[in-house]
Amino acid sequence: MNGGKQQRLYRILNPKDGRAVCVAADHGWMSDFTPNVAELRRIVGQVVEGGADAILLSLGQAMRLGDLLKGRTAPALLIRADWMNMPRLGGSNVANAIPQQELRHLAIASAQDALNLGASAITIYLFLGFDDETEALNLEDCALFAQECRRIGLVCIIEPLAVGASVTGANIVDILITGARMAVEVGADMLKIPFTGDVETFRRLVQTAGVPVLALGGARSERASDALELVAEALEAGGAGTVFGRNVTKAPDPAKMVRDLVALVHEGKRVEDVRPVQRPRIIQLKGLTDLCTGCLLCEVNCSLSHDYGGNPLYSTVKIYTPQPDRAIKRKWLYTPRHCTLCNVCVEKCPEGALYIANGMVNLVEEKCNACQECVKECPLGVIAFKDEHPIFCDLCDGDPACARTCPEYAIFMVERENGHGAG
Amino acid sequence: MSTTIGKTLRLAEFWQKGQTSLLVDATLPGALGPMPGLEVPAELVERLASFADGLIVNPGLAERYADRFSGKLGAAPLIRLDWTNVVRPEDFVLPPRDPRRVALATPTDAIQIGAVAGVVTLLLGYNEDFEARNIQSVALACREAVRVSLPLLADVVLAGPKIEPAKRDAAIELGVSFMTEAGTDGIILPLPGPEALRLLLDYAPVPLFLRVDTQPELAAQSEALRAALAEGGAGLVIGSHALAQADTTLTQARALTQKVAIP
Repeated sequence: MNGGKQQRLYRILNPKDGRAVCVAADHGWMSDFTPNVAELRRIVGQVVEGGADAILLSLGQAMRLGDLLKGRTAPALLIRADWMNMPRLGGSNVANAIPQQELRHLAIASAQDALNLGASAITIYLFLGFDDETEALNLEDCALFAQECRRIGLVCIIEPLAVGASVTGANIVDILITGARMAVEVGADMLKIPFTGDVETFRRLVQTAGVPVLALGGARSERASDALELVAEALEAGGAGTVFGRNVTKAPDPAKMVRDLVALVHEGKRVEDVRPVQRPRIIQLKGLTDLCTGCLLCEVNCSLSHDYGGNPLYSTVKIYTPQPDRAIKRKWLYTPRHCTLCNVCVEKCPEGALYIANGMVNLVEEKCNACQECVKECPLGVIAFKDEHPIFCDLCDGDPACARTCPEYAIFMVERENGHGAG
Repeated sequence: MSTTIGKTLRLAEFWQKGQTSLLVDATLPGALGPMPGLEVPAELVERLASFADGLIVNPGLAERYADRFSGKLGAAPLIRLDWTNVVRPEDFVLPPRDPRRVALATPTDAIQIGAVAGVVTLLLGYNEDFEARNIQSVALACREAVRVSLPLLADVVLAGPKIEPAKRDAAIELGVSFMTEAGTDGIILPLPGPEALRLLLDYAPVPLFLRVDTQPELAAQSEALRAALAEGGAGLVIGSHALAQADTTLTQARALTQKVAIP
């Protein structure tokens, strides 16, 4: 490895343990204008405060926010050298202001541009699972970037993603492992890649790669501890650390999230050390017809809080509106409906993919075949469906958005008194 | 595209406003061969990088021993872009007949090797041709450094026969002025007298680093150096001759830059 690459690699990876905690904050470049995009300066400041090893920014944001990265121990700057519309394609989990149907992916900066800005590396995508031409052109782009990086001494990070129509639950791991190897063969110095879901397959991927592999976090996990578990498993499999985006930038306290990641990646701490397990308080929702005005804020906020763009279709609380009750002078009655743990969906699921624990219905994703039987059978109509998965009320980590935002207190939470759902 | 942020970030790896840095110059073996304390290249990089904020090395060592800088845990790599024979004493095995200064690398090379800054030498006190070529070479390096966002430090050295002890401070002032006008991003200079130093600190828009070449010089000038750093000096540059007893020298120098008592 040439001197420039080596120096810059050690700006990213801690030379003592060969690991890194990186934060991706380039979402405003490719997906909707969400709060984590609007408040990027504050968030990047907190990422620096948390002690991240590197931060991924677009070229434009690097010019504006670069002053936050001053100092030998500050996070190394990684530059996103390409652009794509994948988060805005129909099947994505990200809120979608202007949906797109076909993947577009373009190089938008040279590695030299990134080097001029003081970057230690560039990051580029390698999309797999689309058509042959897309794959070939993308790989060609990766090769050109890798060549330029080699010439100028910049670290080249390639991010293989398995997202096209050819990708299924059955082949995604093999596609990711193939992508990892393709990226290395073409000249990647490091990989940013989704976790394959278990230690064994990720270990296979890491061994195949032969370069440092950073697991990415993907969409924000509902519980921080879930995201941290992913990192712990990636490390156990031999991963070199993580590149977390929304799990940090959308966290209530980004600095704390980074500190937790640093503790896991560099200090050998366990997830339970940084996020002690608290015995969950089992709660349930209650709705009062008398108070509900039918404003639908609960539905909108439920959808918003889960990154579904405020579309009530994807809400798991529903306002039931029957015909007006003539006996009370045509006044409309609205009833907030929510999961009551009636168990019908669990019983009707032909795959046995559902169970009740912690006061909610839980889904075993591997077993779900997207038959939508649960959606059809739910007597209250509160199971939504998106991206080939049913959506159940998850009580928003103990602070339900519907109850929190209802202006009339028509929907609220109480402690569950019976043992149902204690799991 | 604005590339100012690239220079800003790289400079900040070894110096920021309000900070006093310790830089170590380990480049003299490039002209003098193995020197006491600097005999084994790999060791010298690893050992010195753990002491300083920035380590100035020649391009070959920077390339070969990049891993020994230890990333964020060690000193930032600065690369000397030129070579001169004027540092050789008369009793050296190859004594210098004529002063020579040649470029060893460009700012582009330095960036590719992973440097956060380049160091160029301005040798004052020699004949007109020598001085003019030296200044032209520095100016061209400055232009290239802007293009690749590399901070460039000028090392002002008073060495030629035209330097008169009585006009030493005036010569330092001239060198700082030339290098400011040329467009360098920082200047390394010998410690001038208090009045000249005050004048230069007021004048120079770039950080001024004070060079100490030997251990006895450091000991003799410690109070003056402490005062100079307190007045706004950006830091110390410890020369290769002072590295024979590197641990002692650098501990003392570190105490000065950290503004604590010398142990």
